[in-house]
Amino acid sequence: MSTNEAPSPDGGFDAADAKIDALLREFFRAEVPVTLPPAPLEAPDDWEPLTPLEAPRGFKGSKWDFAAPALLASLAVMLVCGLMLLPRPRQNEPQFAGPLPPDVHQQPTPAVWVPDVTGFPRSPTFVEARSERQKVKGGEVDVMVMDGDALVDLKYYKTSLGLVEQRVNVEWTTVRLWDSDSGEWLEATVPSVRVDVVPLGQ
Amino acid sequence: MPESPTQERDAALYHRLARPMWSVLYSRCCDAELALDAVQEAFVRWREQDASRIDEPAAWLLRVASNWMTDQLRRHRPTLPYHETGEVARTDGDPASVLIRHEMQEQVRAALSGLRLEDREALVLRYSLDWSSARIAEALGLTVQAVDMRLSRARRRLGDLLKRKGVVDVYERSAVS
Repeated sequence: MSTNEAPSPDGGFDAADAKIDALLREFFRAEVPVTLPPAPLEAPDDWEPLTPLEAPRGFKGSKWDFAAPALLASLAVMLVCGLMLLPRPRQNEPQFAGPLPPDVHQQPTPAVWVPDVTGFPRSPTFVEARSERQKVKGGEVDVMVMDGDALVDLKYYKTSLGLVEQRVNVEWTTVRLWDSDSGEWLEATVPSVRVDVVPLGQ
Repeated sequence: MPESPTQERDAALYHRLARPMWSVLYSRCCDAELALDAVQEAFVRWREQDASRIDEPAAWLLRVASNWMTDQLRRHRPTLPYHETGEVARTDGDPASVLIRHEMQEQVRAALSGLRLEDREALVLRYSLDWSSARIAEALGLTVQAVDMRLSRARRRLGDLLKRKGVVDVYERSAVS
């Protein structure tokens, strides 16, 4: 058969097919590149291997076709898990850096107190109890007639912690004594000293 | 200048295989230019090979061409359809009829790509190589009845697609005129 001769109509060729047949001949006449050689008269002897784009006929997929990807995926997962379980150098772990230097163990420096006397009241201040002597049996006892306290000293210190106020107060305390010999209560007023240290800040 | 035996052998091989290779490749991609490039690429590589070590040249050539074409398709190779590479310029006819024919070609090409591969393969071998059903059956390792069935099914399916787009009517009118 020459290339110009139309192939014999195949089975089931009807009028509708004839239209499409003519259309397809026209289509491929324009579609086939003119640079190609004419179609060979005979099919190539080694034509059979010319269809490698499809699976070979009669080829049946092996059951390993499915199992192989699953096996490879499982091996990959196991490999990743194994790598994650490998010991690795720990981070942020305390490390021995040797003994501390001697200067770390120095004793704390005490605060430096610098007297800053304001002058009121002058220090030392003597406070006399206003009392009168009362004759009692066997002697004389000073009797306090008036209670109260008095600020007898006030000092300010400039320290490393800031200004500190030191207040010295003298308090008078009346003590009553029962004198069984005379059958009277005896009262005595005695002094006590209270020192207050108040930090005033900077 | 006389050709060397190697050149004569390669020329005979090209003359014998180029068009069938193009047809097979075209049935896969429906792109005439890409199929032609694949054929030429395969023969270029063939000349660079030691042909004495290749037992089945046809199989080797088609495999190389097919792989190259697949690679190009994966890269979304931009191609200019073969029929648009200057046909208008070299056509003496009415530009409108040329455009209509271009449109028809494009519609048929799109319909072809909608067929099943096995049907399209038989159809392309029939109409691009003018092979009979017996020769196609011999080439594809099928019976003649199987080839006829594929051809009939392909034409019917293609006819449905093209009638739906009105291409058949346009073709008939252009053929009459």
